[in-house]
Amino acid sequence: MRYQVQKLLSPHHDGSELFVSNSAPLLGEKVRLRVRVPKGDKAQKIWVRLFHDGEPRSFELKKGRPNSVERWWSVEIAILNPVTSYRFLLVDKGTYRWLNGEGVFERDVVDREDFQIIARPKYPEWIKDAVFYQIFPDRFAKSEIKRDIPTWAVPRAWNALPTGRGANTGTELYGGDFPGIAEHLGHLELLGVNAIYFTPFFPSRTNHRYDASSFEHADPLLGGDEGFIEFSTAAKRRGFRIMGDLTTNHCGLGHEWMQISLKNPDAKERDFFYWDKSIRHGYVGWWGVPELPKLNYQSPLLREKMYSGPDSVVKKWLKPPFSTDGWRIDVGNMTGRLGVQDLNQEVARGVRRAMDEVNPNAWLVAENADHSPSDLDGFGWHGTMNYVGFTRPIWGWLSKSAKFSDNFMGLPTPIPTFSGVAMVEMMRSFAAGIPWRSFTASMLLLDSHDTARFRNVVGRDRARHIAGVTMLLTYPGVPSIFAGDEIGVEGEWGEDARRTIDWDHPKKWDKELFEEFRKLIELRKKSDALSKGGIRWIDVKEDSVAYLRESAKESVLVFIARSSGRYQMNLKPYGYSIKETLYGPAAKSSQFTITSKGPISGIWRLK
Amino acid sequence: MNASPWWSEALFYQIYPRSFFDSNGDGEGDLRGITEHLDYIRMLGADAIWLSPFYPSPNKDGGYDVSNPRDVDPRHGNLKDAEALIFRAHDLNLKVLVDIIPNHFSSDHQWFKAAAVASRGSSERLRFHFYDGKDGNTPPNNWISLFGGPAWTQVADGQWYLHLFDSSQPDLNWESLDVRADFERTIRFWIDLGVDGFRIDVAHGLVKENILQDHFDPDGLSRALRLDVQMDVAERNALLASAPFFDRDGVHEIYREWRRIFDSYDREIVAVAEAWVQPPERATLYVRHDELQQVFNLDLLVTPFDDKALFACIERTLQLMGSVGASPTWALSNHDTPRLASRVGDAQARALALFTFGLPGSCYVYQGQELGLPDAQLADSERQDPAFFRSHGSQKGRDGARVPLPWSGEKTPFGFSSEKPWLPIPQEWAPLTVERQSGDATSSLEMYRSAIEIRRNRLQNHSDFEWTRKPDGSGLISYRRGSTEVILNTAPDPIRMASEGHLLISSNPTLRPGNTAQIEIGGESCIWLEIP
Repeated sequence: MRYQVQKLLSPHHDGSELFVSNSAPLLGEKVRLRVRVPKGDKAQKIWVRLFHDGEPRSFELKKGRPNSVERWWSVEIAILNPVTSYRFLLVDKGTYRWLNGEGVFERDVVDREDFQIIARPKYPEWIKDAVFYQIFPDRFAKSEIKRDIPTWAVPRAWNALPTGRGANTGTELYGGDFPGIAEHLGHLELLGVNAIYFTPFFPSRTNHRYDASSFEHADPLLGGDEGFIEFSTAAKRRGFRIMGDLTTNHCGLGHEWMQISLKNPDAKERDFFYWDKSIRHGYVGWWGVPELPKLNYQSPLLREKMYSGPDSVVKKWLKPPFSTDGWRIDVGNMTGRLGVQDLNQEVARGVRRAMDEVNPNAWLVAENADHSPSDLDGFGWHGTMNYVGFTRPIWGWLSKSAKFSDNFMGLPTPIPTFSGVAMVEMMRSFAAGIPWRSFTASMLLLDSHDTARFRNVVGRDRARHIAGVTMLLTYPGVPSIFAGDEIGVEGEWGEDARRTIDWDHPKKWDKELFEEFRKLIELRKKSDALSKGGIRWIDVKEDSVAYLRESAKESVLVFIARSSGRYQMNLKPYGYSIKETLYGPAAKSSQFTITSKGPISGIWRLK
Repeated sequence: MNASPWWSEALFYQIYPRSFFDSNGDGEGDLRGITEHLDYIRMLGADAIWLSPFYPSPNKDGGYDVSNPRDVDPRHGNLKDAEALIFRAHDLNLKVLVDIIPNHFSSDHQWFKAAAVASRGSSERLRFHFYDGKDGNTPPNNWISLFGGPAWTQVADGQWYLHLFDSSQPDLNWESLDVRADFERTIRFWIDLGVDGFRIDVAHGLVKENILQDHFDPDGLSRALRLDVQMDVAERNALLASAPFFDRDGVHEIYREWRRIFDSYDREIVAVAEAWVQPPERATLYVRHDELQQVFNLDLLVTPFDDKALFACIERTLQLMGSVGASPTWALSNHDTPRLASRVGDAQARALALFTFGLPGSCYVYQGQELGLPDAQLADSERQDPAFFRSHGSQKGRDGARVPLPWSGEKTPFGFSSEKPWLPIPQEWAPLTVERQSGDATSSLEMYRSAIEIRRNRLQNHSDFEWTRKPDGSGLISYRRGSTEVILNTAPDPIRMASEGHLLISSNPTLRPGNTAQIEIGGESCIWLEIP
């Protein structure tokens, strides 16, 4: 264990506004860095150690006036390079410690977990107050409009369960569509979400639509371009942001580019793919799947068509009349990478540049299930889907009787059981390696169309479920809720989780769960600290965790326990006491005990 | 003994959301605007509000053309706003009724969009009334829309669909199980959101009979159905009773089913039917113990300010409702009728309101009635009611009674909105604003407030009603409830009478409460006396 629970009260710095005066400086600007040091800490001097043009340099911090619990130190640094990495040297009597993104170390550390400032324009502001709702278009709601069923599809009755894991897995069609979704926007408003993340809406030959036959149109089965525009207009009017899902890595075998290339060896689109006679079907596909030919970004024309050209796919959908607000990039980690070739950064940066050109307010988040810090340097993806630093640790801590799965998100092992300490270590470790801005611009999720439903992960234990939702809505990042989670839709693996919403029988919904989702979403959207504060873990144990979210305007305490017990909380060393209970058990003053007969979650505003 | 249910003597305040208060400066009223001003309604003394439709709608018929009955039109807000409104209302001890419109959907409703392009005889078409015409260009029958013109419109494949109202309001076919299930969902949806009940639009219109037969006098029936057409009462009643699309016995099965839904909740859900039926006895069928709780007494809306007519109308209603143990409802105006002050005159409007407030049963006040608003005179170019357009201007329509409320200030739009309202508010209404009338003891608003307060304190749940003066040629009629006597003088001249009582309130503002041995009750006015 790298740090001890009792040492949580230690010198602290993160990338939030209390510690960094400007998180989006321009080259040449100055930024003030601050460190808060608890009373009684042995540091006599503090230095920031950073790199200018690759060369390490150190500058001394100035002592501020102490209050009863802590003292703030600060220093102004010059931003000379696109990425400024830094950590703090705490000089004690006769020895020293390092403070980096992962914590305080009484030994030398490497640069990997340094804090980072990126000299790039501000990220979209709206994501700070956004709560996304993920819609898998085939399964959310279906209108009355009769559509011709394509030959590949196996129609299913709306309330039937997906059979999953069979020959028809990808072709069972429930027939959800845009007008159906529009009819239920009121449900989203009641829930309080304010942004929609659509898995792909392009025409394809499957129900998941990750095999686009064109990136130029919305699937006619969903209502086509007209249907999308009508939906987008209605949703915008009601204040929703909309994000699409793009497979930069591959397209479908039915895609017009591939079809032309197969028919005509001289087609200019041939260059868009990797042709290889040693493969049975003659070209590289995602995971060897022939239906998903991988795109080859060595082709200048592909780059132009996909992102850099004036009418590129990336740009087209962000512009009126479609007017989306961002892209989620499918398998962003694989895009542009094949064998010796690695064009990933070029594509990521190119997509981002294209988005900035037409809509600098658009959000770019990549699927990157096993995040790689180098993919998050601030120049490509704004963030990733935070499976590694959020979903997995929480599953490990809160899972209960989830014996259904012999697969822990791609690993050949059942869902493990972590202690609270392990969960927090994992979360801190993830956050430490990437710029704060990338961390807070990443998507938080408890589950998705690719995983089991969180309800099943927690063994249908509503209190544990709420514990997870509490973390989802109080942790730094952009929360996203998979449609149906809020009413208790179940599913034991990805395909099984893609169940429809039973609009005809709302009595079957878990209405109590829905109410808790609502309260927590409302809190998240209204709280300054929850939307942009830093994070300090103040208590981490086997069965319970507590953390502070602090912004310049507000401080909030979050406490979560996964089982029954008596939990004591002492805020005195932090100089806080409870101002107001925002969620969960009522508490007062600076020391209190929470007694619970089961899992419990609480949120309090502090003074 | 059970205590009387809350609604039996309640005062309901009808809100027309588009014209109540605009909180976001788009010229149209919205739910937040209502929530912010619920205290006004509470201070008026209301027990409940009834909200006219605020559902998504292309607004071809003032929101009574619903394209999604389980949502809020973005112009009016969203479901959260609706929930907040209900929450705030309950906080203020106000019950909330919402409108439900089961006779028709909007042609923008996805069901109708699907039906229009579906094949003949398909399940989509069976949700509405689609039929082949008599021949290529003649509709299936000769019925006339209530808004004028034929009640049928043709779709691309030649079939016709029925619309008793505008062509954008296709009538639903209540024999379709889809329709019944969908309304159950809608009812449950709003109850789950917190509402206390429903006002059922055109409750008598759901079931149609003899749909492939011509009516013997479609023009006569059409005129009989119009409140603005003067017609011999007997002739009107005979024609109304002949309507093959109104008040068919089959509707009651629907309300019995609804009542079962209401009763499945652990709080009381109340429904009031808009059912204008002939003969009037048939109205009682809607309030049988296993159907709805209330039915609107629409006769009062057209009864002239005349002692004999008023006595007859009130007595008949009391008898009818008494015969089935239902509580009467008294409404003097609504969003579909001319403003009371324009129909009977300012003084008469106040007198009539005061007279009905004393009666046993519940009272409905349509927003603005308490201010004594008249019908606004609108230029034809400003009108929006489809009745005006479908009748080519021969019916002026109902816009005059739907003009936004004047709240405050000296200039139109009088605080209703920061922008140009959807219908203009006449500048002449400056003396009628809520602000100007508040605290002015001579104002219509203060008379309503006082009367409602006295009614609450002295009259509610006094069942001992008796007439003390029946029409005798003097113009006076009066009744007594407990220790209160309510006297109406319909004659234009004052009448002096000996009095043993204490004057509680008068519709004539010059007459102040107090003890007098003699009272001169002004012409066309009403007083309440405390009697021994």
